[in-house]
Amino acid sequence: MDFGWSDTERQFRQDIRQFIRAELDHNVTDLVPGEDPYSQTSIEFCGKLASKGWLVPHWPVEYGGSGASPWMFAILSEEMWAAGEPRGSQYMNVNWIGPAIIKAGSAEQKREHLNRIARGDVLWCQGFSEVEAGSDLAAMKTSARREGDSYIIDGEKVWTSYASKAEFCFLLTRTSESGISIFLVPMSTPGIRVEVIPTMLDVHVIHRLTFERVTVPAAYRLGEEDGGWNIVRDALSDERVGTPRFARAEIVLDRVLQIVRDKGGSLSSGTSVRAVEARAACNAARLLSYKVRQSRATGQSAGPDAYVGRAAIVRAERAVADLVVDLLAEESLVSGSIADGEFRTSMIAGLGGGSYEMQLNLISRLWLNLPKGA
Amino acid sequence: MDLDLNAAEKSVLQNLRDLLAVHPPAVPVYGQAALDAPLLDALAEGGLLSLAGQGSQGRLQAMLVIHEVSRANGMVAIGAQAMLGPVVAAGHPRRSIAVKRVSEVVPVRFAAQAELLVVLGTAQAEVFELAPADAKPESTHYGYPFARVDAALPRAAIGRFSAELILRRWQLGLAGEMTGALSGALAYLVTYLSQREQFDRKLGAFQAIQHRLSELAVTLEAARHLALEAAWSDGPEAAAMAAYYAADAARKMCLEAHQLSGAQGFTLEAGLHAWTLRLHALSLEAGGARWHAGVAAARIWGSAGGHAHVVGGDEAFYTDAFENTPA
Repeated sequence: MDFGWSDTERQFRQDIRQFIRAELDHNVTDLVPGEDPYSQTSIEFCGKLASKGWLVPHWPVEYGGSGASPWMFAILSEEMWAAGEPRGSQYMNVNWIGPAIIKAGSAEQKREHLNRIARGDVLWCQGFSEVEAGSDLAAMKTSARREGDSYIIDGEKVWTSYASKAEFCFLLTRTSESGISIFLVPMSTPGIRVEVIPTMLDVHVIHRLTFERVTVPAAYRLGEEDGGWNIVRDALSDERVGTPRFARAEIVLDRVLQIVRDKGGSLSSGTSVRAVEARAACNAARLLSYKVRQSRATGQSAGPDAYVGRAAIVRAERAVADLVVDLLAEESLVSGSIADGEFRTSMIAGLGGGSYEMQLNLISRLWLNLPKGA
Repeated sequence: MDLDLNAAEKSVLQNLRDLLAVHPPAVPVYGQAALDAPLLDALAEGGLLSLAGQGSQGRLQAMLVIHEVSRANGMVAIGAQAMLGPVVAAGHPRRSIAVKRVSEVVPVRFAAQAELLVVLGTAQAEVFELAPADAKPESTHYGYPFARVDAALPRAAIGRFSAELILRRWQLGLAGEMTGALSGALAYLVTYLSQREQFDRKLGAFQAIQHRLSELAVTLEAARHLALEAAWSDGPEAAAMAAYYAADAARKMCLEAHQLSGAQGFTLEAGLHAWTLRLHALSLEAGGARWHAGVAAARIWGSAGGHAHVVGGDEAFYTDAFENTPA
């Protein structure tokens, strides 16, 4: 084992930090990751990242990457999230949509999509959840019915981020009683309706996507018909630790402690304990995320490490949020304040990328090998 | 960055497993825990108590040894022996060690059996040779033998070391001992709850039980990796944080393990107490979770609050760390 970074990796982190300081407005870096203003920012910022070779460094050279190690990408992801995730929705493109296309895509799909993702000029959304299929994704009903060289898609997807700005949707559909197929669907296709679902998340907008006799060529299907589960399972294991929330939460913790200090306040011993608990939770989340990266680095499937890592990330975000709202008290009720942002991002942390409870179910089954429920 | 075991680490673990097969630790008789001197001798002879003197890779190997010996209920102060031994008894790994904070006349683990007593002061730590008459055994059921040692021993110290060094190695050792016992307790729970049937179902098939075990598994993995990274870095912040996290987890596990294992878990024949009572004792050593957290807080945020002395070992350090950590 070795917990150290190489000189190259340390320098890479410094270079990214310097780049972020030079390229990003301070206000942008204060925004809660995933906020809507990022759509335009992300196109500009990702273009610059791409020109430095830092958008998809971990991808194979033939698809626009530089074949860098997954550790370089881990460093990149941490620094991006710590800066408010200026890649916006494009973190999904580079984390798992692109890799899924690399793994399962046709030559034509690779040609059409990978270059654009690697250039940073395309926004995607993911069509996964349905009203009756949230944590229970297997219950999805949105169907794709084959008709000659086309598929006819009917159904509804909900709680989809970035849909109003996205050019493409990574869409999960049912193609048989037990089979799921993935389609790479242009959002401009006739029959797709996008509506905003009002939420208490304010600037982070989510949508309802309705598909009414949406006709797409069979060539838009990713991988085999009914072969979507394997692709999406692999993609989701990247997604579990694709948002290194601990990197930003740690900064929020330090910043709030500084605010308390600037006001002449002091921490009780009880609060000190909670501050250390929160910091330790962030450190633990970082290390357990690295376990998942390690699998990538050695070409193995992350397996249940991904669920443990994800659970640790949620815990870290909540531990920090819980403390900072207590420390800033009523001030944390002010919209856009640091504790308001932290509290609300912590509320959604246990749902995005699969609910916390699903992670616990999977840990029970695949890590602890507990007996199956009734 | 590489979180897989390397060949040397696998070899150390294999040597340890071979050794434990020859000297299998027994579940101690309840209330009569005693030092397992043959096991201590074997660990010393096998070179497994000298690893921490060999740089970051050596400390990682030592952490693996501590975890495994504690998991197996080895009745030695494996944390102190493997992490402090190479510092305070270099070249003499067989000498048994007890550790206490200065001015505290509290029950000290293995004090009546140890040959050396490490006394952690505010600026420095001193090492004394112990005579049997120095220690007054205490009655306890918490998994280890405990005894009190007077604040002033009737002989001079035989060694002096930086308090900072001794504290962080003590904390590393404790963190490893607690993660090992956490691991043993969780393995017991998973086995028991996978077999025990109530309401015509295995208890481990109930989601209410599964989620609680999964939470414990995440906590164990977090504690284990914090301890491993702290051993690698040997940083005072990391050691204090790892000790805090493990101590907090230890307390929770002691209660949760007995809740989940029901009345059966309280019986001596079940053997769960071998881990849980030790966890409780370990969670209190050196001042316990809150104290470790105070040290960590002072080191991470304290200096900016005007407590620059926290690293230097000022007289006020330990008091401040615990009582009055500034924001």
